[in-house]
Amino acid sequence: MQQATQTLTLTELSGALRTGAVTARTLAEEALSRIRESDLNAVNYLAEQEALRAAEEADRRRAAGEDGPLLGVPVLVKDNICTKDIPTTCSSNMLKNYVPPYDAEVVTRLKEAGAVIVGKTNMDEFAMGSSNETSAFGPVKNPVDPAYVPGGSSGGSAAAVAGGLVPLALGSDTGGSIRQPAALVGAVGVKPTYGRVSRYGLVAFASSLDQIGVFTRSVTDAALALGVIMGYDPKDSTSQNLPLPDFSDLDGGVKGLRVGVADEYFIEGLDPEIEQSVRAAVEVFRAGGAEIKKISMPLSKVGISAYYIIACAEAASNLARYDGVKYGVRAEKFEDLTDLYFRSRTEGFGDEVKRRIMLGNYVLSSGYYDAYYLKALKVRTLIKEEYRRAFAGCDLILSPSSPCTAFKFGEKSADPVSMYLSDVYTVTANIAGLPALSVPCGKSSKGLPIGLHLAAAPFEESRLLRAARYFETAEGFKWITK
Amino acid sequence: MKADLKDVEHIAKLSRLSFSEEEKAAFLEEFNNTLEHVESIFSVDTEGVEPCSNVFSLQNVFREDLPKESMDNELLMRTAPAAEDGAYLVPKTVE
Repeated sequence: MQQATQTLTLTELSGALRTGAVTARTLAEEALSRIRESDLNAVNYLAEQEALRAAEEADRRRAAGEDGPLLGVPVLVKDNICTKDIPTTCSSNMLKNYVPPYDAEVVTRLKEAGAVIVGKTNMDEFAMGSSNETSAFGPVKNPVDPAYVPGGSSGGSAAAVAGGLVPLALGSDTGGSIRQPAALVGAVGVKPTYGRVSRYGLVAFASSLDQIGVFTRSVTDAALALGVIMGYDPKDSTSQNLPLPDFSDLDGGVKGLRVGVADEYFIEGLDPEIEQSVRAAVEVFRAGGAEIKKISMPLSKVGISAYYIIACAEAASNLARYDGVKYGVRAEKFEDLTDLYFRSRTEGFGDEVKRRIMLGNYVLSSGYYDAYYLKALKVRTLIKEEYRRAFAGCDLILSPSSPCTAFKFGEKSADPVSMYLSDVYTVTANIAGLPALSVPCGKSSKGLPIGLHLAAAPFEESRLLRAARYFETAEGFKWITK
Repeated sequence: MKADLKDVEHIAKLSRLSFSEEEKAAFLEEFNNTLEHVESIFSVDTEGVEPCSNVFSLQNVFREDLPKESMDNELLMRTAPAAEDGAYLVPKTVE
């Protein structure tokens, strides 16, 4: 079994645990040792003692007759999701010493399901970035080629799954932070509908857009993991108390499914190789009996602008809590309380975080509020309506996940606007609260992964995953590792 | 709309962030590039459109007003950079 566990999917590992071919303890030890030896910089904190204890407990539970898809499976959690007694840093100097006194709801659910949390993953600072270069702890490397970024902000989780460290990692997605890195490393990344997964214990970036989701090596695996973390939580007042999606018919195919494709998605700046792969994917759906519908999404081109105004405004408010008093770092020298705020925040936050707080406060400030923030909220209403109209005529919307494949370190970091544009295909799903995912869709001539983006109407996760499952099966998808 | 150095200084103050003169100048340029980009929303006709601050209309979530256990004070104070006798420690704020 030994080395083979590295290349297995969650479904396969779960099966091996069930038959007794492997123990949770062995899986945890192997995952820990792979992470220690890895040079991807995907993990901020290795929870060795906690993981071994949890693995032994999972083995005991199984011996007592318990079963479940995650029982004994090693997982990693993005470092902006609170874990009791395990550091949660958001890859920021501001929170480098923060050890939460409680678990996020998703962590509680993982533990109840018997998952073994082996550590916390590196990310863009406070989830602000699309390349992982804004992490205070150094960038994560793309497992496909270490000269390239893994995408962001959940780059550590993406690289850990695609790079063979663990079969499942949690991420968060505010504007594409699960789907874009999934595309850039060649993993499956799913952002459920806003309100499907509790945000209790997720360090807030933009509360009306943030959603926790999963990285896996197959769509089936994603369904298993979502089955554990989704569900109503009274501790999150935006959590929706609705029946959960049924993933029992993942292999039901796409016959009769109406797939919407918009001309507006094939824009200037889209890598021609990506366009080719995505157009080929459309034919794969057609071959499976799906009906391809031409749709019009003219507002998609202003989505990124509305997104940056709304996300930065919410971030400016959310990050006001880092004042050097309740948690986080406090400057060593200060004159009075105001000076303590200034110095602690100036020392604790990195450049991109400061940039977004500044933009957020600008668009919220007197004289600019109506022109920028209120206008963006109105555009949000129109984008939501544009989707509602589109979903009256189709069941799914297909597009590229990212306009480019993975890029080299430093290539976009000097120009914030070009970095922001890498989320052009993903942000509107957050603006409208839709479930969406990225599934591998081939490779470029340089061998870099390409992602296919699928979005569905709110709460239609089962339809979304069934279509993605059809696609990965039809394509004979194999996740990429070295 | 174009921001100037005065705007940057004003926003920095609101944000409780300090910047050196060089940082301010560099920041201003990036800031204006970003503003120019996001201003593409100005071209959208939003006459008569209601703003949307949350996708699913938010409603108040109530619970019974009953006492229940809260998080342990000592545990919470452990996350503070400075605490004493179960309270956050801050510099003198009232003369």
